[in-house]
Amino acid sequence: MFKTRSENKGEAVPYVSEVETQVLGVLRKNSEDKEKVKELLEKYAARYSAEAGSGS
Amino acid sequence: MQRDTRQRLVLDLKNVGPLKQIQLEIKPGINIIRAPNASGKTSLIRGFTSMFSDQVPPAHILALDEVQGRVTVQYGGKSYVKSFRRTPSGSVVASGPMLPFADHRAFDACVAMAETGVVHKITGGGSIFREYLENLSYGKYYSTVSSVAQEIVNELSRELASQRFERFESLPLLVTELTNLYLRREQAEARIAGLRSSHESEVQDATKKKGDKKAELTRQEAMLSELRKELNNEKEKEQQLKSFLELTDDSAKVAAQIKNGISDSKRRQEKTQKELSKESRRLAGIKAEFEKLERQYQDKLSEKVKGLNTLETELQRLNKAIILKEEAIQQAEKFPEDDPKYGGQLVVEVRKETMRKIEWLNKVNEYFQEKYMRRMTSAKIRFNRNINRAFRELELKGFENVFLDQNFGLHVVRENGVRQPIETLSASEKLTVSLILMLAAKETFLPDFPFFILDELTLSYDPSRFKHVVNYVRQRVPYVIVTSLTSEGTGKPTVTYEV
Repeated sequence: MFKTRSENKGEAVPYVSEVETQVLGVLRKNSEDKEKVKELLEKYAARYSAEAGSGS
Repeated sequence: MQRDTRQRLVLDLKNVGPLKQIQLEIKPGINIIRAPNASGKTSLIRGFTSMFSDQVPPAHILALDEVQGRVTVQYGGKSYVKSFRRTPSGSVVASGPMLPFADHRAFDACVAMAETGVVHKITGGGSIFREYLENLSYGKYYSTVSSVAQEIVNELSRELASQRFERFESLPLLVTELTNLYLRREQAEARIAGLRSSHESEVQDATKKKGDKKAELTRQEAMLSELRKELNNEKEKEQQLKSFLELTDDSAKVAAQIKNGISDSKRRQEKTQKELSKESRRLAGIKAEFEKLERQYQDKLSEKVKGLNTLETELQRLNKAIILKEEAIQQAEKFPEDDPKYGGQLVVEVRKETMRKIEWLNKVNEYFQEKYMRRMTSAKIRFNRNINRAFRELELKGFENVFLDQNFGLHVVRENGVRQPIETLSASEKLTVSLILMLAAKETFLPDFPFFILDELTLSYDPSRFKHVVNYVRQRVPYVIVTSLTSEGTGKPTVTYEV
Protein backbone atom coordinates (compact mmCIF):
# COMPACT_ATOMS: atom_id res chain seq x y z
CA MET A 1 0.00 0.00 0.00
CA PHE A 2 1.12 3.52 -0.74
CA LYS A 3 2.63 5.21 2.26
CA THR A 4 2.42 8.90 2.84
CA ARG A 5 5.53 10.99 3.23
CA SER A 6 4.86 11.44 6.89
CA GLU A 7 4.43 7.73 7.52
CA ASN A 8 7.68 7.03 5.71
CA LYS A 9 9.37 9.69 7.79
CA GLY A 10 7.88 8.15 10.92
CA GLU A 11 9.58 4.88 10.11
CA ALA A 12 12.86 6.75 9.79
CA VAL A 13 12.59 8.25 13.28
CA PRO A 14 13.19 5.57 15.91
CA TYR A 15 10.50 5.19 18.61
CA VAL A 16 8.40 8.01 17.15
CA SER A 17 5.17 5.98 17.06
CA GLU A 18 5.68 4.98 20.68
CA VAL A 19 6.48 8.58 21.61
CA GLU A 20 3.46 9.89 19.70
CA THR A 21 1.08 7.58 21.56
CA GLN A 22 2.53 8.52 24.92
CA VAL A 23 2.78 12.30 24.50
CA LEU A 24 -0.69 12.56 23.00
CA GLY A 25 -1.98 10.55 25.96
CA VAL A 26 -0.32 13.00 28.34
CA LEU A 27 -1.68 16.05 26.52
CA ARG A 28 -5.19 14.61 26.32
CA LYS A 29 -5.16 14.32 30.10
CA ASN A 30 -3.71 17.78 30.56
CA SER A 31 -2.96 19.90 27.50
CA GLU A 32 -0.71 22.18 29.58
CA ASP A 33 1.52 19.41 30.92
CA LYS A 34 4.60 20.36 28.90
CA GLU A 35 6.88 19.17 31.69
CA LYS A 36 5.68 15.59 31.28
CA VAL A 37 6.08 15.85 27.48
CA LYS A 38 9.59 17.17 27.99
CA GLU A 39 10.37 14.36 30.39
CA LEU A 40 9.19 11.77 27.84
CA LEU A 41 11.11 13.31 24.95
CA GLU A 42 14.25 13.51 27.07
CA LYS A 43 13.84 9.88 28.09
CA TYR A 44 13.52 8.70 24.50
CA ALA A 45 16.32 11.01 23.28
CA ALA A 46 18.61 9.46 25.92
CA ARG A 47 17.51 5.96 24.88
CA TYR A 48 18.18 6.71 21.21
CA SER A 49 21.55 8.24 22.06
CA ALA A 50 22.59 5.26 24.19
CA GLU A 51 21.54 2.69 21.58
CA ALA A 52 23.01 4.61 18.65
CA GLY A 53 26.22 5.11 20.66
CA SER A 54 26.59 1.43 21.54
CA GLY A 55 26.09 0.49 17.89
CA SER A 56 28.68 2.88 16.54
CA MET B 1 -45.57 2.56 24.99
CA GLN B 2 -42.77 2.50 27.54
CA ARG B 3 -40.72 5.66 27.81
CA ASP B 4 -37.07 5.36 26.83
CA THR B 5 -35.28 6.68 29.91
CA ARG B 6 -32.05 6.99 28.01
CA GLN B 7 -33.58 9.86 26.15
CA ARG B 8 -34.10 11.87 29.36
CA LEU B 9 -31.54 13.74 31.30
CA VAL B 10 -32.24 15.07 34.76
CA LEU B 11 -30.04 17.86 35.96
CA ASP B 12 -29.89 18.49 39.70
CA LEU B 13 -27.81 21.37 41.06
CA LYS B 14 -27.07 22.42 44.62
CA ASN B 15 -25.26 25.62 45.60
CA VAL B 16 -24.33 26.48 42.05
CA GLY B 17 -24.06 30.23 41.43
CA PRO B 18 -27.18 31.85 42.95
CA LEU B 19 -29.06 28.52 42.72
CA LYS B 20 -29.52 26.87 46.12
CA GLN B 21 -31.26 23.82 44.74
CA ILE B 22 -32.87 23.13 41.37
CA GLN B 23 -33.85 20.10 39.32
CA LEU B 24 -34.54 20.29 35.59
CA GLU B 25 -35.37 17.69 33.03
CA ILE B 26 -33.68 17.98 29.66
CA LYS B 27 -35.41 16.20 26.82
CA PRO B 28 -34.47 15.48 23.21
CA GLY B 29 -35.37 18.52 21.12
CA ILE B 30 -35.20 22.16 22.04
CA ASN B 31 -35.13 22.90 25.76
CA ILE B 32 -35.75 26.54 26.52
CA ILE B 33 -34.71 27.60 30.03
CA ARG B 34 -36.34 30.85 30.97
CA ALA B 35 -35.63 33.03 34.00
CA PRO B 36 -35.26 36.70 34.92
CA ASN B 37 -31.88 38.45 35.13
CA ALA B 38 -29.39 37.22 37.79
CA SER B 39 -31.49 34.15 38.56
CA GLY B 40 -28.78 31.61 37.64
CA LYS B 41 -29.27 30.68 33.97
CA THR B 42 -25.58 30.98 33.07
CA SER B 43 -24.58 29.32 36.37
CA LEU B 44 -26.84 26.43 35.49
CA ILE B 45 -25.16 26.08 32.09
CA ARG B 46 -21.70 26.33 33.68
CA GLY B 47 -22.66 23.66 36.20
CA PHE B 48 -23.87 21.38 33.43
CA THR B 49 -20.71 21.91 31.31
CA SER B 50 -18.63 20.69 34.26
CA MET B 51 -20.07 17.23 33.55
CA PHE B 52 -18.42 17.00 30.12
CA SER B 53 -15.62 19.58 30.13
CA ASP B 54 -13.25 21.18 32.62
CA GLN B 55 -13.02 24.50 30.80
CA VAL B 56 -15.02 26.43 33.39
CA PRO B 57 -13.00 26.80 36.62
CA PRO B 58 -14.75 25.16 39.63
CA ALA B 59 -14.58 28.54 41.44
CA HIS B 60 -16.92 29.96 38.77
CA ILE B 61 -19.49 27.26 39.51
CA LEU B 62 -19.73 26.94 43.30
CA ALA B 63 -21.87 29.57 45.03
CA LEU B 64 -19.65 32.31 46.47
CA ASP B 65 -21.10 31.99 49.99
CA GLU B 66 -20.97 28.17 50.13
CA VAL B 67 -18.20 25.70 50.92
CA GLN B 68 -19.82 22.76 49.16
CA GLY B 69 -21.96 22.25 46.11
CA ARG B 70 -23.00 19.52 43.71
CA VAL B 71 -24.08 18.84 40.18
CA THR B 72 -25.93 15.58 39.57
CA VAL B 73 -26.92 14.26 36.17
CA GLN B 74 -29.12 11.24 35.67
CA TYR B 75 -28.60 9.94 32.20
CA GLY B 76 -28.99 6.54 30.54
CA GLY B 77 -30.19 5.01 33.81
CA LYS B 78 -27.09 6.11 35.70
CA SER B 79 -26.37 8.90 38.10
CA TYR B 80 -23.25 11.08 37.74
CA VAL B 81 -22.32 13.33 40.69
CA LYS B 82 -19.75 16.08 40.65
CA SER B 83 -18.90 17.68 44.00
CA PHE B 84 -17.40 21.11 44.54
CA ARG B 85 -15.53 21.93 47.71
CA ARG B 86 -13.95 25.15 48.91
CA THR B 87 -10.57 24.54 50.55
CA PRO B 88 -9.30 26.49 53.59
CA SER B 89 -7.13 28.55 51.23
CA GLY B 90 -10.25 29.67 49.35
CA SER B 91 -9.73 27.73 46.14
CA VAL B 92 -12.44 25.41 44.86
CA VAL B 93 -11.79 21.82 43.84
CA ALA B 94 -14.10 19.58 41.84
CA SER B 95 -14.27 15.80 41.99
CA GLY B 96 -16.45 13.16 40.42
CA PRO B 97 -17.03 11.41 37.12
CA MET B 98 -17.74 12.96 33.75
CA LEU B 99 -20.63 11.96 31.50
CA PRO B 100 -19.74 9.13 29.06
CA PHE B 101 -19.56 11.47 26.05
CA ALA B 102 -17.40 14.02 27.89
CA ASP B 103 -14.87 15.85 25.75
CA HIS B 104 -13.22 19.08 26.87
CA ARG B 105 -13.42 20.41 23.29
CA ALA B 106 -17.21 20.38 23.50
CA PHE B 107 -17.12 23.63 25.47
CA ASP B 108 -15.55 25.40 22.47
CA ALA B 109 -17.70 23.75 19.82
CA CYS B 110 -21.07 23.18 21.51
CA VAL B 111 -21.51 25.85 24.20
CA ALA B 112 -22.29 29.28 22.73
CA MET B 113 -21.93 31.93 25.41
CA ALA B 114 -21.70 35.63 24.82
CA GLU B 115 -18.65 36.09 27.03
CA THR B 116 -16.50 33.19 25.80
CA GLY B 117 -15.28 31.30 22.74
CA VAL B 118 -16.29 31.88 19.17
CA VAL B 119 -19.24 34.18 19.92
CA HIS B 120 -17.06 36.41 22.06
CA LYS B 121 -14.32 36.42 19.42
CA ILE B 122 -16.54 37.23 16.45
CA THR B 123 -18.66 39.79 18.23
CA GLY B 124 -15.38 41.41 19.20
CA GLY B 125 -14.34 41.50 15.53
CA GLY B 126 -11.78 38.67 15.77
CA SER B 127 -11.22 36.70 12.60
CA ILE B 128 -8.22 34.38 13.08
CA PHE B 129 -9.18 30.82 13.99
CA ARG B 130 -5.86 28.98 13.97
CA GLU B 131 -5.85 28.40 17.73
CA TYR B 132 -9.50 27.35 17.65
CA LEU B 133 -8.77 24.66 15.04
CA GLU B 134 -5.55 23.70 16.80
CA ASN B 135 -7.57 22.92 19.93
CA LEU B 136 -10.39 21.11 18.18
CA SER B 137 -8.24 19.04 15.81
CA TYR B 138 -5.63 18.25 18.48
CA GLY B 139 -3.18 20.02 16.18
CA LYS B 140 -2.16 21.93 19.29
CA TYR B 141 -0.80 18.71 20.77
CA TYR B 142 1.45 18.25 17.75
CA SER B 143 2.65 21.86 17.85
CA THR B 144 3.21 21.52 21.61
CA VAL B 145 5.38 18.41 21.15
CA SER B 146 7.21 20.13 18.33
CA SER B 147 7.88 23.24 20.41
CA VAL B 148 8.94 21.19 23.45
CA ALA B 149 11.38 19.21 21.23
CA GLN B 150 12.75 22.50 19.89
CA GLU B 151 13.02 23.86 23.43
CA ILE B 152 15.09 20.83 24.49
CA VAL B 153 17.28 21.19 21.38
CA ASN B 154 17.85 24.84 22.29
CA GLU B 155 18.71 23.92 25.88
CA LEU B 156 21.15 21.20 24.77
CA SER B 157 22.74 23.49 22.18
CA ARG B 158 23.17 26.23 24.79
CA GLU B 159 24.73 23.68 27.10
CA LEU B 160 27.20 22.53 24.43
CA ALA B 161 28.20 26.16 23.95
CA SER B 162 28.43 26.78 27.69
CA GLN B 163 31.53 27.10 29.88
CA ARG B 164 31.17 23.48 31.00
CA PHE B 165 32.13 22.35 27.50
CA GLU B 166 34.57 25.19 26.82
CA ARG B 167 37.53 23.22 28.13
CA PHE B 168 36.73 20.50 25.62
CA GLU B 169 37.09 23.02 22.82
CA SER B 170 40.70 23.60 23.95
CA LEU B 171 41.51 19.87 23.91
CA PRO B 172 42.95 19.66 20.34
CA LEU B 173 45.26 22.59 21.10
CA LEU B 174 46.32 21.05 24.42
CA VAL B 175 47.06 17.70 22.74
CA THR B 176 49.15 19.44 20.07
CA GLU B 177 51.02 21.34 22.75
CA LEU B 178 51.62 18.15 24.73
CA THR B 179 52.89 16.35 21.61
CA ASN B 180 55.34 19.21 21.05
CA LEU B 181 56.49 19.00 24.65
CA TYR B 182 57.04 15.23 24.33
CA LEU B 183 59.09 15.86 21.17
CA ARG B 184 61.19 18.54 22.82
CA ARG B 185 61.76 16.29 25.82
CA GLU B 186 62.92 13.46 23.57
CA GLN B 187 65.32 15.83 21.82
CA ALA B 188 66.70 17.12 25.13
CA GLU B 189 67.12 13.57 26.46
CA ALA B 190 68.95 12.52 23.27
CA ARG B 191 71.29 15.50 23.51
CA ILE B 192 71.99 14.79 27.20
CA ALA B 193 72.65 11.11 26.39
CA GLY B 194 75.00 12.20 23.56
CA LEU B 195 76.93 14.54 25.83
CA ARG B 196 77.20 11.93 28.59
CA SER B 197 78.31 9.25 26.16
CA SER B 198 80.96 11.53 24.72
CA HIS B 199 82.23 12.37 28.22
CA GLU B 200 82.29 8.74 29.23
CA SER B 201 84.38 7.80 26.22
CA GLU B 202 86.79 10.61 27.08
CA VAL B 203 87.05 9.26 30.64
CA GLN B 204 87.59 5.75 29.28
CA ASP B 205 90.27 7.08 26.98
CA ALA B 206 92.01 8.83 29.89
CA THR B 207 91.73 5.67 31.99
CA LYS B 208 93.33 3.62 29.22
CA LYS B 209 96.17 6.10 28.75
CA LYS B 210 96.78 6.19 32.48
CA GLY B 211 96.74 2.36 32.64
CA ASP B 212 99.18 2.09 29.74
CA LYS B 213 101.53 4.58 31.38
CA LYS B 214 101.28 2.74 34.68
CA ALA B 215 102.28 -0.51 32.94
CA GLU B 216 105.23 1.28 31.29
CA LEU B 217 106.26 2.68 34.67
CA THR B 218 106.11 -0.78 36.24
CA ARG B 219 108.25 -2.23 33.43
CA GLN B 220 110.76 0.61 33.80
CA GLU B 221 111.00 0.09 37.56
CA ALA B 222 111.54 -3.64 36.98
CA MET B 223 114.26 -2.86 34.48
CA LEU B 224 115.99 -0.50 36.92
CA SER B 225 115.76 -3.11 39.61
CA GLU B 226 117.45 -5.63 37.27
CA LEU B 227 120.19 -3.09 36.45
CA ARG B 228 120.80 -2.38 40.16
CA LYS B 229 120.94 -6.09 40.82
CA GLU B 230 123.38 -6.52 37.94
CA LEU B 231 125.53 -3.63 39.27
CA ASN B 232 125.58 -5.10 42.76
CA ASN B 233 126.52 -8.52 41.36
CA GLU B 234 129.35 -6.92 39.42
CA LYS B 235 130.49 -5.06 42.54
CA GLU B 236 130.47 -8.31 44.53
CA LYS B 237 132.34 -10.02 41.70
CA GLU B 238 134.98 -7.20 41.77
CA GLN B 239 135.35 -7.60 45.54
CA GLN B 240 135.75 -11.34 45.19
CA LEU B 241 138.36 -10.88 42.47
CA LYS B 242 140.16 -8.33 44.67
CA SER B 243 140.14 -10.83 47.54
CA PHE B 244 141.56 -13.50 45.23
CA LEU B 245 144.22 -11.04 44.09
CA GLU B 246 145.45 -10.42 47.62
CA LEU B 247 145.90 -14.13 48.06
CA THR B 248 147.69 -14.51 44.80
CA ASP B 249 151.37 -13.76 43.95
CA ASP B 250 151.48 -10.55 42.15
CA SER B 251 153.83 -11.95 39.51
CA ALA B 252 151.86 -14.95 38.84
CA LYS B 253 150.02 -15.33 35.65
CA VAL B 254 146.79 -15.86 37.56
CA ALA B 255 147.18 -12.45 39.17
CA ALA B 256 147.30 -10.86 35.78
CA GLN B 257 144.19 -12.68 34.79
CA ILE B 258 142.45 -11.57 38.01
CA LYS B 259 143.46 -7.96 37.37
CA ASN B 260 142.00 -8.22 33.89
CA GLY B 261 138.83 -9.62 35.43
CA ILE B 262 138.70 -6.71 37.88
CA SER B 263 139.14 -4.22 35.04
CA ASP B 264 136.43 -5.94 33.02
CA SER B 265 134.12 -5.87 36.01
CA LYS B 266 134.77 -2.15 36.54
CA ARG B 267 133.98 -1.43 32.90
CA ARG B 268 130.83 -3.41 33.11
CA GLN B 269 129.93 -1.57 36.33
CA GLU B 270 130.52 1.79 34.66
CA LYS B 271 128.45 0.72 31.72
CA THR B 272 125.65 -0.58 33.96
CA GLN B 273 125.92 2.57 36.05
CA LYS B 274 125.54 4.69 32.95
CA GLU B 275 122.65 2.58 31.81
CA LEU B 276 121.12 2.83 35.26
CA SER B 277 121.40 6.59 35.23
CA LYS B 278 119.90 6.76 31.80
CA GLU B 279 116.98 4.48 32.69
CA SER B 280 116.47 6.28 36.00
CA ARG B 281 116.04 9.52 34.07
CA ARG B 282 113.66 7.75 31.77
CA LEU B 283 111.72 6.41 34.78
CA ALA B 284 111.44 9.93 36.13
CA GLY B 285 110.04 11.01 32.75
CA ILE B 286 107.54 8.16 32.73
CA LYS B 287 106.52 8.98 36.33
CA ALA B 288 105.98 12.58 35.40
CA GLU B 289 103.90 11.56 32.41
CA PHE B 290 101.89 9.15 34.56
CA GLU B 291 101.22 11.81 37.14
CA LYS B 292 100.14 14.14 34.40
CA LEU B 293 97.78 11.51 33.01
CA GLU B 294 96.45 10.81 36.52
CA ARG B 295 95.68 14.50 36.96
CA GLN B 296 94.05 14.59 33.54
CA TYR B 297 91.96 11.53 34.48
CA GLN B 298 90.90 13.07 37.79
CA ASP B 299 90.08 16.30 36.02
CA LYS B 300 88.01 14.45 33.42
CA LEU B 301 86.20 12.55 36.14
CA SER B 302 85.27 15.67 38.00
CA GLU B 303 84.80 17.77 34.90
CA LYS B 304 81.32 19.26 34.34
CA VAL B 305 80.10 18.37 30.88
CA LYS B 306 79.75 21.52 28.92
CA GLY B 307 76.07 22.40 28.20
CA LEU B 308 74.79 19.46 30.26
CA ASN B 309 73.52 21.65 33.08
CA THR B 310 71.57 23.84 30.74
CA LEU B 311 70.08 20.80 29.06
CA GLU B 312 69.19 19.15 32.38
CA THR B 313 67.50 22.34 33.57
CA GLU B 314 65.60 22.45 30.28
CA LEU B 315 64.58 18.80 30.75
CA GLN B 316 63.29 19.50 34.25
CA ARG B 317 61.30 22.44 32.92
CA LEU B 318 59.87 20.29 30.13
CA ASN B 319 58.88 17.54 32.57
CA LYS B 320 57.03 20.05 34.75
CA ALA B 321 55.30 21.52 31.69
CA ILE B 322 54.31 18.01 30.55
CA ILE B 323 52.78 17.19 33.94
CA LEU B 324 50.81 20.43 33.91
CA LYS B 325 49.69 19.85 30.33
CA GLU B 326 48.63 16.27 31.08
CA GLU B 327 46.62 17.52 34.04
CA ALA B 328 45.01 20.16 31.84
CA ILE B 329 44.11 17.48 29.28
CA GLN B 330 42.66 15.25 31.98
CA GLN B 331 40.57 18.18 33.17
CA ALA B 332 39.46 18.94 29.63
CA GLU B 333 38.70 15.30 28.90
CA LYS B 334 36.61 14.63 31.96
CA PHE B 335 33.99 16.47 33.94
CA PRO B 336 34.94 16.98 37.59
CA GLU B 337 33.77 14.18 39.89
CA ASP B 338 31.57 16.63 41.76
CA ASP B 339 29.79 17.80 38.60
CA PRO B 340 26.10 17.23 39.45
CA LYS B 341 25.14 16.12 35.94
CA TYR B 342 28.17 14.56 34.27
CA GLY B 343 30.49 13.84 37.24
CA GLY B 344 33.53 11.85 36.06
CA GLN B 345 32.29 11.31 32.49
CA LEU B 346 34.46 11.94 29.46
CA VAL B 347 33.56 15.25 27.85
CA VAL B 348 33.91 13.80 24.36
CA GLU B 349 31.39 11.06 25.21
CA VAL B 350 28.91 13.48 26.74
CA ARG B 351 29.29 15.73 23.74
CA LYS B 352 28.66 12.87 21.30
CA GLU B 353 25.70 11.72 23.37
CA THR B 354 24.23 15.23 23.37
CA MET B 355 24.72 15.56 19.61
CA ARG B 356 22.84 12.30 19.08
CA LYS B 357 20.01 13.55 21.30
CA ILE B 358 19.81 16.74 19.26
CA GLU B 359 19.79 14.72 16.04
CA TRP B 360 16.85 12.61 17.26
CA LEU B 361 14.92 15.57 18.68
CA ASN B 362 15.29 17.46 15.39
CA LYS B 363 13.81 14.49 13.54
CA VAL B 364 10.96 14.27 16.06
CA ASN B 365 10.37 18.01 15.73
CA GLU B 366 10.18 17.70 11.95
CA TYR B 367 7.86 14.69 12.20
CA PHE B 368 5.42 16.44 14.55
CA GLN B 369 5.54 19.68 12.54
CA GLU B 370 4.62 17.79 9.41
CA LYS B 371 1.83 15.96 11.21
CA TYR B 372 0.60 19.28 12.58
CA MET B 373 0.48 20.78 9.09
CA ARG B 374 -1.33 17.75 7.66
CA ARG B 375 -3.80 17.67 10.53
CA MET B 376 -4.54 21.40 10.36
CA THR B 377 -4.91 21.39 6.59
CA SER B 378 -7.27 18.44 6.73
CA ALA B 379 -9.22 20.01 9.62
CA LYS B 380 -9.59 23.28 7.73
CA ILE B 381 -10.86 21.56 4.57
CA ARG B 382 -13.48 19.57 6.52
CA PHE B 383 -14.40 22.60 8.60
CA ASN B 384 -14.89 24.79 5.52
CA ARG B 385 -16.98 22.05 3.91
CA ASN B 386 -19.29 21.94 6.95
CA ILE B 387 -19.55 25.74 7.19
CA ASN B 388 -20.41 25.89 3.53
CA ARG B 389 -23.06 23.20 3.84
CA ALA B 390 -24.68 24.90 6.84
CA PHE B 391 -24.90 28.23 5.02
CA ARG B 392 -26.28 26.52 1.95
CA GLU B 393 -28.87 24.54 3.90
CA LEU B 394 -29.90 27.50 6.06
CA GLU B 395 -30.44 29.59 2.91
CA LEU B 396 -29.50 32.74 4.77
CA LYS B 397 -30.05 35.88 2.81
CA GLY B 398 -27.13 38.16 2.23
CA PHE B 399 -24.35 35.53 2.42
CA GLU B 400 -22.68 33.74 -0.45
CA ASN B 401 -19.89 32.03 1.38
CA VAL B 402 -18.03 31.96 4.67
CA PHE B 403 -14.66 30.24 4.89
CA LEU B 404 -11.26 30.09 6.52
CA ASP B 405 -8.30 30.98 4.30
CA GLN B 406 -4.86 29.33 4.36
CA ASN B 407 -3.87 31.41 7.38
CA PHE B 408 -7.08 30.42 9.19
CA GLY B 409 -8.52 33.91 8.72
CA LEU B 410 -12.32 34.01 8.52
CA HIS B 411 -13.85 35.56 5.40
CA VAL B 412 -17.46 36.47 4.83
CA VAL B 413 -18.48 36.84 1.19
CA ARG B 414 -21.66 38.72 0.42
CA GLU B 415 -24.08 37.75 -2.31
CA ASN B 416 -22.51 40.30 -4.61
CA GLY B 417 -19.13 38.62 -4.17
CA VAL B 418 -17.72 41.36 -1.96
CA ARG B 419 -15.75 40.29 1.10
CA GLN B 420 -16.94 42.01 4.24
CA PRO B 421 -14.65 42.51 7.25
CA ILE B 422 -16.01 40.64 10.28
CA GLU B 423 -16.08 43.72 12.48
CA THR B 424 -18.44 45.49 10.08
CA LEU B 425 -21.13 42.76 10.27
CA SER B 426 -24.29 43.54 12.24
CA ALA B 427 -24.60 42.08 15.74
CA SER B 428 -27.17 39.62 14.48
CA GLU B 429 -24.99 38.55 11.55
CA LYS B 430 -22.01 38.09 13.84
CA LEU B 431 -24.08 35.77 16.01
CA THR B 432 -25.28 33.81 12.99
CA VAL B 433 -21.73 33.38 11.70
CA SER B 434 -20.59 32.38 15.21
CA LEU B 435 -23.27 29.73 15.61
CA ILE B 436 -22.67 28.28 12.16
CA LEU B 437 -18.94 28.13 12.82
CA MET B 438 -19.59 26.32 16.09
CA LEU B 439 -22.04 23.92 14.53
CA ALA B 440 -19.53 23.21 11.73
CA ALA B 441 -16.84 22.65 14.37
CA LYS B 442 -19.10 20.25 16.25
CA GLU B 443 -19.92 18.32 13.08
CA THR B 444 -16.27 18.24 12.03
CA PHE B 445 -14.66 17.30 15.33
CA LEU B 446 -17.39 16.10 17.70
CA PRO B 447 -20.03 14.54 15.46
CA ASP B 448 -21.39 12.30 18.25
CA PHE B 449 -21.59 14.89 21.01
CA PRO B 450 -25.35 15.11 21.77
CA PHE B 451 -25.71 18.68 23.10
CA PHE B 452 -25.66 22.18 21.70
CA ILE B 453 -26.14 25.01 24.18
CA LEU B 454 -26.97 28.66 23.46
CA ASP B 455 -26.75 30.82 26.53
CA GLU B 456 -28.59 34.13 26.42
CA LEU B 457 -27.87 35.05 22.83
CA THR B 458 -31.32 36.34 22.07
CA LEU B 459 -30.87 39.89 23.29
CA SER B 460 -29.23 41.23 20.16
CA TYR B 461 -30.60 38.64 17.77
CA ASP B 462 -33.27 38.93 15.14
CA PRO B 463 -35.89 36.55 16.73
CA SER B 464 -36.99 34.95 13.47
CA ARG B 465 -33.41 34.29 12.32
CA PHE B 466 -32.56 32.95 15.78
CA LYS B 467 -35.47 30.53 15.62
CA HIS B 468 -34.47 29.52 12.10
CA VAL B 469 -30.91 28.79 13.20
CA VAL B 470 -31.95 26.96 16.37
CA ASN B 471 -34.36 24.76 14.40
CA TYR B 472 -31.56 23.95 12.00
CA VAL B 473 -29.32 23.03 14.94
CA ARG B 474 -32.10 20.85 16.31
CA GLN B 475 -32.15 18.84 13.07
CA ARG B 476 -28.51 17.97 13.56
CA VAL B 477 -28.12 17.68 17.37
CA PRO B 478 -30.30 15.54 19.71
CA TYR B 479 -30.43 18.02 22.61
CA VAL B 480 -30.49 21.79 22.16
CA ILE B 481 -30.54 23.93 25.29
CA VAL B 482 -31.38 27.61 24.96
CA THR B 483 -31.48 30.03 27.87
CA SER B 484 -33.63 33.07 27.53
CA LEU B 485 -34.37 36.12 29.60
CA THR B 486 -37.91 36.61 30.84
CA SER B 487 -39.53 38.99 33.25
CA GLU B 488 -42.24 36.48 34.12
CA GLY B 489 -42.21 33.62 36.62
CA THR B 490 -40.98 33.07 40.13
CA GLY B 491 -37.34 33.87 39.54
CA LYS B 492 -36.28 30.23 39.34
CA PRO B 493 -35.33 28.91 35.90
CA THR B 494 -38.01 26.83 34.25
CA VAL B 495 -37.88 24.68 31.14
CA THR B 496 -40.21 24.52 28.22
CA TYR B 497 -39.77 22.01 25.46
CA GLU B 498 -40.08 22.14 21.71
CA VAL B 499 -39.71 18.62 20.42
